[in-house]
Amino acid sequence: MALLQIAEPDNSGEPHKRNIAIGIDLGTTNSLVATIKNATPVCLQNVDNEQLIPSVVYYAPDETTLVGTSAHAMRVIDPANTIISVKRFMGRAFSDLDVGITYPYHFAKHDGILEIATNHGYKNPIQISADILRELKNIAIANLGEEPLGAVITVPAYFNDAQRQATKLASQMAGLNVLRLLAEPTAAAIAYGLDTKNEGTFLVYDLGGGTLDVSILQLSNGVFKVLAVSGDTHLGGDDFDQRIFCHILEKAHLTEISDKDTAVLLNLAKFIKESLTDKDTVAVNKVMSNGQIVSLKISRDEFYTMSEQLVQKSIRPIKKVLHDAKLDISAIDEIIMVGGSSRLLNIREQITAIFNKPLLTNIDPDKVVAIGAAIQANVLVGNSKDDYLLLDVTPLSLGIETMGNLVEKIIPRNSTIPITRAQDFTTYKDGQNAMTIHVLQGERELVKDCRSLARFSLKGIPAMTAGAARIRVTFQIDADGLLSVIASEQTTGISNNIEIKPSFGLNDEQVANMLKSSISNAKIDMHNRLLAEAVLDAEALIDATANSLSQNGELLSEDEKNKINQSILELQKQLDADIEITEKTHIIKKLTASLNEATGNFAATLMDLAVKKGLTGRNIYTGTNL
Amino acid sequence: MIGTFSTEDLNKILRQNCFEVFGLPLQYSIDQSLLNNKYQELQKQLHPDKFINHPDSLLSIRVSAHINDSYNTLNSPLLKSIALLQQNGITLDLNVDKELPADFLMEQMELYEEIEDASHDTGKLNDLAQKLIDKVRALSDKISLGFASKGMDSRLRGNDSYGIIIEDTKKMAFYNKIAHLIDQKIEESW
Repeated sequence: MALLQIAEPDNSGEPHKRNIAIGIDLGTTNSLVATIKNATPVCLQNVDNEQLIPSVVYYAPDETTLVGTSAHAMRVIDPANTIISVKRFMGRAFSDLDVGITYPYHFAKHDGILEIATNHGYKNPIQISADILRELKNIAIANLGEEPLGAVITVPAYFNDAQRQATKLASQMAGLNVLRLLAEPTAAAIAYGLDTKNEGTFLVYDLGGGTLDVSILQLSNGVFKVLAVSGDTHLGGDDFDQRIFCHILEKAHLTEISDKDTAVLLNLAKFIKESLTDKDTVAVNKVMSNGQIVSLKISRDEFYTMSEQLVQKSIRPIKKVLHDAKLDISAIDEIIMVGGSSRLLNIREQITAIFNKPLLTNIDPDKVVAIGAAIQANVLVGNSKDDYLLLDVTPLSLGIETMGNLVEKIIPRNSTIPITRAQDFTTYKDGQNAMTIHVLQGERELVKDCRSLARFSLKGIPAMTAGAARIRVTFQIDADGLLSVIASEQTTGISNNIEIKPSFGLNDEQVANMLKSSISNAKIDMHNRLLAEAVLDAEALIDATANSLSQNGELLSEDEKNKINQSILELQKQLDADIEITEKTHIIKKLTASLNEATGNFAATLMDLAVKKGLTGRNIYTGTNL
Repeated sequence: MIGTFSTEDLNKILRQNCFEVFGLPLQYSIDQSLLNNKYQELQKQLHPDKFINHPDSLLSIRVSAHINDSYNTLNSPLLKSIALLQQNGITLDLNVDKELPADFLMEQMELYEEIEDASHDTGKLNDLAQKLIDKVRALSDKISLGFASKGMDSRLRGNDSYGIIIEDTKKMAFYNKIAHLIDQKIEESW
């Protein structure tokens, strides 16, 4: 272990203990984790120096779970076990699956919940997201040296209650203390708003890989308020790639192509799109698996023409959000560009033209959401002196089913949260002692067009004549946008409070089971990690020792050399042993310790030699690349 | 900042009406900037974000919601009038269509026809929306004068003396409904 921990001189010198909090941007395509270090927001890197972690999970045939780039690499080899864009499935029922889209997964339905069959058994989107979040948490721990006290997790402004509940649950399963669920564009505005200390009205345009969110925020007297949100859940950078992809197919006269070639060409399309932000023309050559060579040139104008429709589609929510906020174009002070796809020049040009002013692009659009989340997390754990408050709105109207399959709105969209609304109900039959209430979310008038959130029964209503009972049902949306419902009978003295936690497709038992299994999984994960560390330590010591032996072996007696070699052999044998994990970890650690002991004399001898050579402060392992 | 509000204080706010929450007098005409400042000041101290890991965190959700609700009420001419009538002992039931003057009802019919005629013409719909905003504003000014002339004289309580305000409030509810319909049409017209 000592080998791997090369301590750097710590110059941070924090005078007092701070509460460490992290911000997580759990994206459809990529995820990031950020924190505040020395008063500056930073995105944290994994061991491969990556900040953008692909939101991809791979369940290998053995017990291994890969997350990120290594998982992404598996999508061509084993697509059925490589879960991409799981965020699209969050809070979704089996019946919500888009009919038109084909996925490489084996979906299953378990009590109405969407599940995917993997090498590790059936996984639901919450469990898969928890795997991504656990990876992000581990990146944070590796960087910060301790567990974060809490986390702010961002969600699309458009997320409905079921999707928010699912996100929160996934975070809890990953062992995170959720301080707040924060709308992504709001996080972006925080990142900018605090930097520029502006008072004003901002429009946040967030075009990611697969989703578009447009929001209007107002900052005044230290209160940040979301005035309105709009967007398109199926529009993003991938659609632009798709246009270029289709263009390539057409130009190269490709008809039936393999999955592998599709992946190759989609990557190529993405490359072309990105290149066209600073080049006028891009020329590409690619060899297909059948030997055919795809060779073509695409100009920026051509790309503009083929993506014109998409650009128009991506502009439309701007109108809608202005209308919802009851604002004129001139009322917008700043336009914040968020999401990798907001780099597209034709989109920037169009938006600049609409507002007739420059756009804010100086914070990396890929990182701005995570940075804002980290700033907010830092405020929530009490580190920041900034006395600002964030007020959010509920993005979708909440209603209940009434006669004739209609939805009666109880809380309109864009209401500031937290919010409570009481609605009185009565009985329609003499002696009726139960009634069913169906809660829905959405803007449409018919039940079938809205998202069903919960259906619950009120029982124990005192027997009265029809219409005499007065049951008050209170709907509460908390600061995370999560709904809870409380019902009580008003006319009788007994205020019979019935608290109903909507199930959103998951019942309490399922939630409990998921939490339980996440804890036992976490244990397995921990044991796996301990073993992996022990193996790494052992291998490093074996390498270092072997290296030193080959370089300075003559300093040792045959007997000493044999002893060391024997130790190495024993250790190596155990590295490949097929025994229980904790047992194996224990044995490897013990043998590593004895190898270390056996080389003690060698190290001392080498040290003497080093001193003699005038080199000080180096140790036996200097010769290796550690 | 927490600690300046005890559990008792929080419960007290929950029992206050929308005017009391912001320390405003029971009158229709409101100093908007005072209301805005007071609202922000209260939310900065009472929002659930300020009660993380605090025993009153659940209570703070309700208090913060009550402040939001009170603020919304005072910012809506219609809800504010209903709330003020309530304070004067009059509960308005908007679901019951009490007789409104025939000419008003005729005007409603005409408005509906205009909406129909505008069809999906965004320009025409926007004009109509503006017309409704003007109508609501005019009614709001009238209601404001009505309340001001009543003062808080307890002898003037009761349905009779508030007849005109009640009627105007109901008219406003009608206009709001139509304005909402126009809003929907405008969205559809895109």
